[in-house]
Amino acid sequence: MRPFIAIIRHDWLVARARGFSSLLSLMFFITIAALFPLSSDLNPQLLPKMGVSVLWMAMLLSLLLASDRLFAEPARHGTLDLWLKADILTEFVIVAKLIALFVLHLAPLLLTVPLVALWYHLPVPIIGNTMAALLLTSPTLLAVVAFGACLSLHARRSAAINALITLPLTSPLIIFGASSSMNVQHDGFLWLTVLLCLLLAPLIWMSARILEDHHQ
Amino acid sequence: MTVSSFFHSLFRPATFLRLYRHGATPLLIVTIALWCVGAWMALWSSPPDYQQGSLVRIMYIHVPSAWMALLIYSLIGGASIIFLANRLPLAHIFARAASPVGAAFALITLITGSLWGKPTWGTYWVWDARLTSALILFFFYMGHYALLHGFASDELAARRASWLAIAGLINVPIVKFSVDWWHTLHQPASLVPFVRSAIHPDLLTPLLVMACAAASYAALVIAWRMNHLLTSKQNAP
Repeated sequence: MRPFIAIIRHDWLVARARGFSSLLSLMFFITIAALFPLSSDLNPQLLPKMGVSVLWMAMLLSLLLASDRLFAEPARHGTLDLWLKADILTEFVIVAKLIALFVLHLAPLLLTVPLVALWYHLPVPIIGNTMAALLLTSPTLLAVVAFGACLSLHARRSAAINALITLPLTSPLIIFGASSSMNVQHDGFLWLTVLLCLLLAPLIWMSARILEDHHQ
Repeated sequence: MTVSSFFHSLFRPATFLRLYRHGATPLLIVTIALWCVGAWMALWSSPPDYQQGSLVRIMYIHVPSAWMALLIYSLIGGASIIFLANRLPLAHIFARAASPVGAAFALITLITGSLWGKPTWGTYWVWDARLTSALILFFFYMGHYALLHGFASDELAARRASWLAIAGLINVPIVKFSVDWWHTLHQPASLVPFVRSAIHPDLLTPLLVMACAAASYAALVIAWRMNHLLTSKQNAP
């Protein structure tokens, strides 16, 4: 348990030492959300319809931006090797990294959702649904992001490869997440739970094997 | 005999190369013959559909391409599991050789489907379950290709690409059964093994010949590429 806490603490301390520059990806999220209405015809009838889609896509892109350094940075500094040699299962190294990513990136983003929703005149029930769906999707989404980050670790154009392999994998989450947000499909939340149960463990297991493979 | 040593004896590069030396030319002749017969049947001898007219002829290229795209992806996924479990170079050579071939079939499926959809459904594209999952299959092929060529070390690239191919296997049943699970727009399969076909024999025969032609062509090109990867100097194992 101690190495597990230590990894989360490490990420927190590194972020704090850098003046929480991790919040830059939050600014990226807000900027995309602001540019979408500007690139449309500002029709007040259209805005609530596109709001949910924009929130989901902007969230995904900013998460992708944040995930690029998820394992690349500790690998460059050598901390990743230490974690893999520590008395802890590699799966838990990944879970600890993902909890840190959630706290530093996704949680602040969730808090700004109601604010950004104002730009799109989203009704309150939809804002609530969106936040609930985002919260329910986040473990699976983070596992997908970890898988992509592990696969593209040490690649020549890792950011582009990471995007190319992560985005298609998120499609079921986006489909059911956005549909539960908009309440077009009543069993959207059920499907998100099914995906969570089915995908979380295999994705983290595969990510762990990939990390160990390079550092044995 | 352990599973691993069984696979090793089965997937020896030398075995493949001997097979290739004897089989490549006959396979080429069979492929050309099947293509000629298939194209003649599909374009001239088969009757036009009573509703779709000659548009139905797109099916003879669309359906075999879709089958091959799915089949090749499944084989790449299987080869990737064997490669990661047993470190068999030939399994990876196969995945590496087959990846662009499958991607080409997936792209042909998407393009011919769009061209058929415009006059029939009235649109080039709908976000129907089958079309979306087929598009994602193509994205998986692209991701696989990117990983195969994205690393300084070929061995690392081989293992990373294998993991992605395995993860993408989850999409294969989704593509296959999307038409049954979600009744959106794309019609369900007309051809189910051991069940009387919903297609009239006049249309079914050219379809099956074209499917054999596509399979034979895929086998030929993959064998060419495997031979090249095995024998060219820079890739010699």
